[in-house]
Amino acid sequence: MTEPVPRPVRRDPRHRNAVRRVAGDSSASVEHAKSIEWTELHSIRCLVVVDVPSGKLSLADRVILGAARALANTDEFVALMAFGELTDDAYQAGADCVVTLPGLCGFRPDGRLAAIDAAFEAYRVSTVLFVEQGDMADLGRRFAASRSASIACDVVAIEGESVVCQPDESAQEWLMPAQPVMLLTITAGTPFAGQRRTPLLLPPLLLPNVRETGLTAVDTVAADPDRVPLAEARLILSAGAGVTDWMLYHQLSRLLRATRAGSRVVCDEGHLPRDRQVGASGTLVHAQCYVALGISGAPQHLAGIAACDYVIAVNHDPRAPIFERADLGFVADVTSMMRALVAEIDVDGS
Amino acid sequence: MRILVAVSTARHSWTDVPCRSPHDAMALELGLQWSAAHSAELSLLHCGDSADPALRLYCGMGVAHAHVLTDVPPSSAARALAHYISRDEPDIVLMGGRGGHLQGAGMIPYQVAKMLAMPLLARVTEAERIAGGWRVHQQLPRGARRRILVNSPWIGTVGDGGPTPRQVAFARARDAIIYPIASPPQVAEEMPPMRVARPARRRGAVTVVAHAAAAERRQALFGQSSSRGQLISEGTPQEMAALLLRKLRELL
Repeated sequence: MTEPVPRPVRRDPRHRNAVRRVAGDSSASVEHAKSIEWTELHSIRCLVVVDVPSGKLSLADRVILGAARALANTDEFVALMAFGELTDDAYQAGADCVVTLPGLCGFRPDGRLAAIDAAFEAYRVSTVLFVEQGDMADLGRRFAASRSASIACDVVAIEGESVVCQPDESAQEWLMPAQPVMLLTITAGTPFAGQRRTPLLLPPLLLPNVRETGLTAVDTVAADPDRVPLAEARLILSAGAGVTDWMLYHQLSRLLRATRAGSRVVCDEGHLPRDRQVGASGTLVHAQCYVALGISGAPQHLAGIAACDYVIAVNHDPRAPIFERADLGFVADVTSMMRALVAEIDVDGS
Repeated sequence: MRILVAVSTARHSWTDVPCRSPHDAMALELGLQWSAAHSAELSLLHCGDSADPALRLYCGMGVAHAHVLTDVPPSSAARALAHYISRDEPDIVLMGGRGGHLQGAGMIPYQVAKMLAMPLLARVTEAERIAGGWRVHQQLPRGARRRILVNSPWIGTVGDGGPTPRQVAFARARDAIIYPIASPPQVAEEMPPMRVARPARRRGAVTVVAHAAAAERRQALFGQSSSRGQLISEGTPQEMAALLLRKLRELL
């Protein structure tokens, strides 16, 4: 019997913690370098700036990170700057290094701008990426204006070294080279699905103390759930043919501060106005949580809730198709369930 | 008190018909509402061609006259606007979030704000006058609002959630007086990035699974597996309700 021939050891010239292939293991198990030290020779290809008020990376944030990975070569670095306490694993999502700034939560445009500016200089960043929506689209434009940098907005796709920009409803799209500042839409990439990245240890960022120009105080007003457009609602309490006690349903929606919606049947019968209909012939909803009460789940209705993050269903029929879609299903009588929910909230007072 | 609304004109992206820029029309609508509410004077400013038929469409919303900064190369529009605003000294400047038929990069308000060192607020919906400034409501995703206290003067932009612009009255559009203002010769500033236009193509095709059962086709279309959910059929409604509420608290 012969000794297995040891395979040659490959050393990463950049670092002493080189990636090493373990001899004799056919499954090619790789011992990871623990981390990479930042030196003055390193630079960052893409800086992805995200807002994480909940601590979690949203789908849009993951898409932008995936797009940044597509833009950068495998040996180039992607940095993530997160405003908030990040709890998700950013290295798994495609980032090589993370800068979390919990002190810059909320509306702090000038403070955030100074942080991006400092990172841009300190880490030698080539491209800064933002998501083309809300505060981040605003911040990206502020950054481009402050540095007089050229900007590519409405980026819908990345093709090699170029990006494709298509403004809303436009019959044309434009191909241009990657710009220093880019605002990406959610179609610009796919979430990173490769191996977890080896962390690159960045030196701490020195943040200047910045005062907001002309802005003296800030607070946020919660949305009135019934005035939120149905497609944008966060929590939807949806009623189907199984709901019979409508006063109880309305009371429950008020207590939960949920947006009211219904299936086609209840809108046809007039229990809810037509603009509250969810489904293929109504509104396609994007709720964070969708609670379906007494909805069996016709394919047209399931098409309407396809984009919801989490679906909770209550139905008396255990074979209802809604349970195939539901992340959490309850086989129970809808009226007694609603009564129990109202009683439970009254006890809790929340 | 004075409100200045700066508008751009547009060509419809499919038909090439001169039209109001959607966001700029919303900005003017908001300006008209605020000038009525705060008994403020409203002025309309455009940078470009004074004979543009689209400019009269804004006047038709109820503005008797408009000022036009002529002979400005597009790359110097922000500088020309900033120069005019610094002399005109309005309390509030309103602009559309995106220029043209929503094809502009939306950079002009930011460039003007930077040149004049004025605070800028995006997606404004309401403004109340308070001592020493304004309390401005800013639109956030999913129907929330943010209230910001801002010192005068400030720049506001109006985005997709803005008010629906009123209709254009033909006679008002025809009778409006347009004052061209010749701008001092401008040096063309940095060029926009090189870009190549091509017809837009459809992206994100839906995966269709041929010759599959209805359940599989549904899964392919809606992207969900039938096995991931948790089904609870045992227990009293009280226990189930407690579990449901616990889950809701976890999620939201």
